[in-house]
Amino acid sequence: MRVLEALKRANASGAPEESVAVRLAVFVAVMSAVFALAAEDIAGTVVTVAAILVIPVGFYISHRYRANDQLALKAGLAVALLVVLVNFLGALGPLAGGDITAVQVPLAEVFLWVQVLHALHVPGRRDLVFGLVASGVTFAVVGVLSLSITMAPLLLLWIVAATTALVLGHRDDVRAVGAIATEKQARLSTDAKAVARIGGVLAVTAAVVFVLLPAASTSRALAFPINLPKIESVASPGGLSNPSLGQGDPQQTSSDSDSTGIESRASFGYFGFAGQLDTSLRGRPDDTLVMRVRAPGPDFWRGQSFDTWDGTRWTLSDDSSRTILGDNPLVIPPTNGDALAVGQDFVATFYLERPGPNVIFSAARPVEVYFPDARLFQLRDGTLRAAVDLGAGAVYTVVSSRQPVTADLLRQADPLVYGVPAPIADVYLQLPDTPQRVFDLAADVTRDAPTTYDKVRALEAWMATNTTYSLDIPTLPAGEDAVDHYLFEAQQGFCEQIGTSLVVMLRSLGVPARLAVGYIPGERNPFTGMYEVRASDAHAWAEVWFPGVGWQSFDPTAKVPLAGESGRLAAAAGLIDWIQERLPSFVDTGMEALIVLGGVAALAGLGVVGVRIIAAHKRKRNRDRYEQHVWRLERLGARCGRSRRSGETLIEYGRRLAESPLRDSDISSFATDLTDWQFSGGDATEERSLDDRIRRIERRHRDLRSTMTALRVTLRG
Amino acid sequence: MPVVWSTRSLQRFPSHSGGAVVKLRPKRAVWLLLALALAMYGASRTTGAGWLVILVAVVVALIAVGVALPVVGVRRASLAVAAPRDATTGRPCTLTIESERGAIVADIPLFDSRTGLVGPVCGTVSGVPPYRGVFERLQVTIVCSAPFGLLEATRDLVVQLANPLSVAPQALVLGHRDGLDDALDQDGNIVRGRADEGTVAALTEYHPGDPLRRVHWAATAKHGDLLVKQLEPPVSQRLVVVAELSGGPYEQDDIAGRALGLVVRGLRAGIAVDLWTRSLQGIDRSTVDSPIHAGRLLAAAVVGRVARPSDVGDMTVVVVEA
Repeated sequence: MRVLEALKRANASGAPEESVAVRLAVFVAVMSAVFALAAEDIAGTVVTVAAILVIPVGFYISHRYRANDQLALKAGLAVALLVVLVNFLGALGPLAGGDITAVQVPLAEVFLWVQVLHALHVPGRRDLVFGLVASGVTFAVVGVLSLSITMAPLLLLWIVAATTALVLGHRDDVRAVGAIATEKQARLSTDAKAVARIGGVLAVTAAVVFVLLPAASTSRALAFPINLPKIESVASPGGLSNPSLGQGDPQQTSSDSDSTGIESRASFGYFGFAGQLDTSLRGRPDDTLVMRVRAPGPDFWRGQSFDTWDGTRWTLSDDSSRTILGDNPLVIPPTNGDALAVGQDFVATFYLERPGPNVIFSAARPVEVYFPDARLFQLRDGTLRAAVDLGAGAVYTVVSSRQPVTADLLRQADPLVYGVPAPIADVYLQLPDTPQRVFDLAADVTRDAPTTYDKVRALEAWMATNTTYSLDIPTLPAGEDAVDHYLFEAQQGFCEQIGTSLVVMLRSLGVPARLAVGYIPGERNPFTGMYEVRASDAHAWAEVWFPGVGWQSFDPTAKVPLAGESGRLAAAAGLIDWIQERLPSFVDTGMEALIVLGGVAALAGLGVVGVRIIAAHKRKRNRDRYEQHVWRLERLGARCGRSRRSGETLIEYGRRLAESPLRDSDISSFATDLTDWQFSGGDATEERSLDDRIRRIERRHRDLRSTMTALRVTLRG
Repeated sequence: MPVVWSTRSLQRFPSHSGGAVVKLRPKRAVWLLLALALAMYGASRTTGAGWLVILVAVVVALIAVGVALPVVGVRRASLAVAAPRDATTGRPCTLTIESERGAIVADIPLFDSRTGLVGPVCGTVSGVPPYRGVFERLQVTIVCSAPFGLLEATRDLVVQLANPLSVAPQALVLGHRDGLDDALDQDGNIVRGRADEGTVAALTEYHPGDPLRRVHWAATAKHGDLLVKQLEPPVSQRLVVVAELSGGPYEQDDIAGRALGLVVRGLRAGIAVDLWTRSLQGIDRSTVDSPIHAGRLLAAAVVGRVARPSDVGDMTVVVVEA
């Protein structure tokens, strides 16, 4: 018995929560977490349906029987939670030594079960707060797994509900002690105002904190998510496969043209992810989202590179590859020209949304790859290829070692000073028969640039000034050199022409360079912290070799900072651009978006201030009107020799005036009504009535004075 | 019946005396939320999940607002207090407290218990003063934990009252057992002079129950029937109540209460009553004109010996002591 009593004491829920509003707010918060899990399709169907059905019933029962000591129910729930925990541990068993990220889904299910079971017994405030915290943790689990902004409205709902629950809970506590409004109407009104006011303060504070916080980042402390929904080996191991190119797929044969279902190039297919890059080709990919990248900062997502230029096309001089085998992570050895120094880890996880090439995208230079297949191929230029097709849903993580490169470092590591090793020079200084004016232009533009780095920047600047970026360019005439045509004839082009021209001009100056293809970082989603890469972000750029540093990317059209100069990324990085993208088209720049947002905020602020001014004015008007009436009454009294005495109340004064020669009893009642009106808050109808009454009193007084004057004149006469 | 004031008659006095010191008492929930925020931040730094940063921002904002607003609330709070002139121990007393800013719960030692207000507000606070005394200023501890109850910020404000608030003792019902035999007759009424003294106004026949000492033996012997004297009331009647407080607060209040009870009875009987007490200024010998007057004198009474009247004359002197 003593043990039972002790158990009862330990499990006592405290005072039952009487506030339906608090309970309802917590219920909304819990359900929003459940729906967030369901929307992201994270937990299983059974537990999700159970949650949607059981939690509302549980909250109702908890409220209905909140005063009861339900020890049996508590014991049952404890047993059920134990079963859930055992099941969870059982689910972990097969994952041992495997992908740790696979724990996340069972973990989410555990949280959901906890919500379901806990909802059956939430009689007191403490239980409700636990539910609130548990729903917050559930959102955290969803947040880890969510790749999109689907959960945004539900998170917003949770924040509103949680704030409401906390504010109302506290107000209820205070109400129990003292004297805030307890009448239903007044209570609703003041509570709603308090929630709105605090919600606003909280929103502004959270926004400020969000702006100040550093961006989420990945670390090497944990294993990374990997996934391969469908394992389908490429036809030629080590070879390039790109189903999105349809017939242009390097691995495509007539017999299996239908294997991917894409016969012609997909709208999101990029012709650069092929065995060759023909700069005379036209047609850019559309805005289809091809992948999301979770990375600590922006970088070029490099796919592959080309080293041999023939005047119109880029190819790879050596397509042979070596096999990299092993368990995760697969260790990637350096290749020709790579820096051997250990750089800073840069972890990028790629979530593919569309079928694409079997190249492994990465920031330069990859050193480890977490990949669901145990085999990769590495080409001589460092390009990594999978042995399987990479379709939608494929996930892999690449750890790159980035040199903390700055402009000063690149100026010091000058290949023209330290010389270029033969293996690099042989491949990356090669040029076809190129018109002399291209060489002359390169020499002319870089005449005043002291270092290779400055030469690169000078060439970039020249192209930015003298050529135009355009996706709508004329076809390259047959037999024309693409670079010569771009620089001197068309003087407009897109990344392939621009990148190629930079490489060719640098090679003409003796600087080793090559053309890389891949994607620019894409738009950073400030909420998910992921870079959303669209097909139109497919890009070609120049890579320049620097002794001791390795290959460094340069591009005159994409703003990607040097690794050593990128600085710390803030959590809100990209927020302005993200909003700008979703604002009407008249907003073109981030600054304009900022101005529009500032304008909206200012208007909202002005609205609030305006409402306050109007309210204050109304109060002041009431006070002024009162004083005005008092003054008129005093003037009336003074005219008939009855000035107001010091310390005399208005009612007393009115009474005295009424007994004066004026003999107007309405003055006394007017003074009383005026006092009542002033101290009762000033009703508008009554105000009009008072206006009329003082006017009538004054008119009667005027008439009386006129009569008296006339009488005096008559008497004198 | 609580006293009702017009809010516009409130006089505002600047608060002082340590008003700037704010004491903070964080609740356990703050540490819980902080731990949650740290855990989420750690997770965001290892998983790269941007949503976690948003959750961290929300939780940090929650803590920041929950910790900052109570401090701002109590620091900005200003009070004006309107108090009645008189109150009685053990009976409800209502104060009007006006707070311009800050959600507050007021702790008023006068009431010896916590009472509440949430501002900005002008409202009444009712409480029961447990002890007798004169309050020229009122200490109000304002407590604010709005909006979430994460942290309790307190600040003591001392507000000078326009008029001192006298908390009088409760007038106690008196009896012989209170040691007031000389002052009360058999019915417990104040004795208006000695019953066997004074001028004989008339002689009447004896009725059963008449005191034997009022029998006029000479006239009885002369007339043969038992005749009793009817005395004229004493010409000069005065009750002097000497309240000599001692002991602890309860004992003092008991003595004061008995003295007040006696004074009230005297006044009801139409007798002039003097109340002798010791106040901070010395011995106070006042002729009381109303129970409220007596209550104020006794509210201000302090422990100490009070001299007795030397020339009693036709006065009834009652010393109320422990």
